Amino acid sequence: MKILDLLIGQMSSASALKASWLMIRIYKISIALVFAWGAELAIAENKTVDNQFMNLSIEELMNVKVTTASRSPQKLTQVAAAVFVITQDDIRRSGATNIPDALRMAPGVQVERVGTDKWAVSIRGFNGVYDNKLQVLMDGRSVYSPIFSGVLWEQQDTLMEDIERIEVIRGPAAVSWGSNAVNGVINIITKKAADTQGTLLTAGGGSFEQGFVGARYGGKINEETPFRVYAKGFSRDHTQSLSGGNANDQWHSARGGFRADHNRGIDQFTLQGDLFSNFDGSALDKNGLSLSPTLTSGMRGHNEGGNIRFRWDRTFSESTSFMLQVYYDRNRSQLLPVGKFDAESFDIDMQYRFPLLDRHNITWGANYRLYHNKIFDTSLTTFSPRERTNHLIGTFIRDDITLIPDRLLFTLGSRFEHNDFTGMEIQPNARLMWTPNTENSIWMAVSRAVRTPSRAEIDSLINLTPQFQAFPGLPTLPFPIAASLQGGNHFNSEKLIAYELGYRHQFSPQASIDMTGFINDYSQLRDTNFGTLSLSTGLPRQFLFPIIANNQGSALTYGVETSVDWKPRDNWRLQGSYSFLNIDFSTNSAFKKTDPSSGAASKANPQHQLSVRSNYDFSERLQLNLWLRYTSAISLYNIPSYVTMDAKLAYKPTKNTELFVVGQNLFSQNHQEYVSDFIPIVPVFIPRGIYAGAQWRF
Amino acid sequence: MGMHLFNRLLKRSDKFVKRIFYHFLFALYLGFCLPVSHSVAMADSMVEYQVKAAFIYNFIAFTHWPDSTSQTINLCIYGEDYFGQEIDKLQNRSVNNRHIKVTRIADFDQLKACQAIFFSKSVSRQLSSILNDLQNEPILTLADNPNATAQGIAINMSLVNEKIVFEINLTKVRASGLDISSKLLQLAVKVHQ
Repeated sequence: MKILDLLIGQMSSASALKASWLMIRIYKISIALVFAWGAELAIAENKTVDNQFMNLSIEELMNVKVTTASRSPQKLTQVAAAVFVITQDDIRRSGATNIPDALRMAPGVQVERVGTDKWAVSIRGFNGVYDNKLQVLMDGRSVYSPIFSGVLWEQQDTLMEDIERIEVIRGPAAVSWGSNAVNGVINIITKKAADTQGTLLTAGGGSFEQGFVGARYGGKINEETPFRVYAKGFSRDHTQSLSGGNANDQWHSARGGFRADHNRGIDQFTLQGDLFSNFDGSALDKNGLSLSPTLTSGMRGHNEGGNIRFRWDRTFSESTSFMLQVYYDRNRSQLLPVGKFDAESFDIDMQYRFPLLDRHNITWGANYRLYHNKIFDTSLTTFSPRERTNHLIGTFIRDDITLIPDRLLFTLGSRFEHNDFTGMEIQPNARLMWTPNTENSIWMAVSRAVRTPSRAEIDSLINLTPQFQAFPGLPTLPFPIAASLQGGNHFNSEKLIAYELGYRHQFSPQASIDMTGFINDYSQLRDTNFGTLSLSTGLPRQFLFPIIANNQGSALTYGVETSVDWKPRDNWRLQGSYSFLNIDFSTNSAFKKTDPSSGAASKANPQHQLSVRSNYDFSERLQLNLWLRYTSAISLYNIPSYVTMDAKLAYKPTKNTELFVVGQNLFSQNHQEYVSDFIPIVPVFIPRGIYAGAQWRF
Repeated sequence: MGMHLFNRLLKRSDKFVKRIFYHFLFALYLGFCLPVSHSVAMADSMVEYQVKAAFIYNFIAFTHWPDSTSQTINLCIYGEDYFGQEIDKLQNRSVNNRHIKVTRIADFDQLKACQAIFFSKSVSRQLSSILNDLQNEPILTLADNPNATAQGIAINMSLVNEKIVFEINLTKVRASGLDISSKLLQLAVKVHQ
């Protein structure tokens, strides 16, 4: 409780807002109450509930699915970290047509749509189109770009029906997932081939989601070797810029892939691959035009890529297992004049888990990753050298120590990783989990994590003239100014030490709550300072104004995240989440009031986010799902707070078919969510959307 | 009309949101503190052993003991108990005119008094020697660890593709004087004989 008290104390002293004050007091009270209930429950524990499986026939029993969570050595309720799982059922009921929109269901995740094909997704602050503190993996394949530290969300997709779950881990998780898992990790996990047998066809369309079609076939090569193949395509409308113009970001996408699993005794093998092609675009911000009058503001881009992955698992026993994974990923992208690149990565990863002595469970792993990429010069960005190969080699060890069986678990681990830019990075963490009984668990953690430099911070020269000309209070000079952001070899990793405290409580089989508080202490964050102003020698004569990336920023952030899950009735489920975030950034930069990634970070991230979902089944055939969201204002971009709602009505006329109507962002014609902070493209409104469709399984 | 209203609400969002927030907390408070006393939490993790307990019930039901066996089937749990209360729900259940009695055994010498024994994972290392001792006794031996069949257990459960399957060592079953119904043999993923 001490850390939480500290946190609450800090929050109350720091936030002057009356609302926050009241909120904190209510929090204090509710936390106290929750503890009181916990005590009550411990007494009333000895009642028995019927085992629902006792009445099943043995054939039926053989078809009961024992969830993955219970199979994994660490059950979800026993994880000493802020974990939230978005299930396939959640995704289906939400009506989300893409992964970033589905992530809005998790507490503490900030998802702001920047255009039809662009999102800014972050956890615990520092949001941006390329949020550099969030690691993202699809089936164990890192999709975090080493070029500009971030995730190209438009490339991360699959058949939504084939996603088994999305695990969202808030807070540092560098030991298991490597560098750049600073503020969190998102793990998108697709179903096993055995779970996607049969044919699935889905199609539909509407206003913003203009049209989509998806197909999957799952079969068996033999009894031990199930497989699936899938293909999907969609077309999404363009958005409108704030001034009402066409933002030119209509998006057409096609994607296909396969997965085959093979079971042989204690061994399991998986081979999986995908291919995709996207046609999208953007409109350059008008300010950009003053630089190169020949440019038209509309840009059309294209990106394509693919990956292949092989994984081998050997399970010796419940507590001893071995895993080996190899993957190759390639993607090419161009959106001129902003950027054009060709990137590939290769990774080999192994893990071994075994018990030691009586009370220790050791997990040990090592990985090697190769990044090779080529970035072509454009009028806005130049990389030198253009082409680079980088190596990353890492190893980690983690020990789960049972201090008191079933009650007290202590975890100690560290990752040791070497990268080409900053050398060895050591990222340790310690976690303690106390489970006094099956209803309550309390955990705390202290972790260190780093965000390693991207190529953009080392090799790039980014033309900032357009943004710079928009900079207020600039004196008039006799020559035009050419401003540029320069990376350099001196750029170091960003560091974080995080303190977290969490509490979970199961009120009844129908209701539970999960609360987390954190304090993040960042140092050596990216910041910028002015280089020396000089006059160019060639023509046209202009001032060269270098802006140089440095590591002089530091920040203290704190926040709370809560999620609740309640089934008031068998056919009705309510899920709510609330998160609060405060960022204090220390900087001396001249851009401290305008740079969303440093001094202005606190104003570029919403402080409060709220989401409430209601899933109501009128009958087995008719379901109504509602989803209300609130995001507080983002003052840096003058974006007001907004409340919006999505709704999905699904009807199953027969067992195999489903018809659905989905409304998205229903509360207003359109609303603004964010502004592209890195690429100079026009800010847009996200429109209301309605689509309908059908799904057929056989 | 409705949209207009929401737009107005949007503009006055500060108050609106504060209210929503308090209502939310209030709902939380009401919703969660009232139904508390009803029942005990059933974590996800329990499902696996709930299903295994149900399987054990079925294994007993499909097994025929020699007629000389007592009217009580002593179901013994040897080693660390992962079932919690789940296995106790078999207590006093009747199968084929006998009823089940659940006992947790710590002392190895008491095993011979059991008609069915579930060997926990925690005793997997001593399994061979224990089974050696119990050879030819009319006892149905059960386990859920990957090496148990090789060590001579009669029925072993395992998790495959998130479902529970079992294999039967028919040689051992016959040697101990028990008879297992053909239906169970058909459903086993593997029958060793």
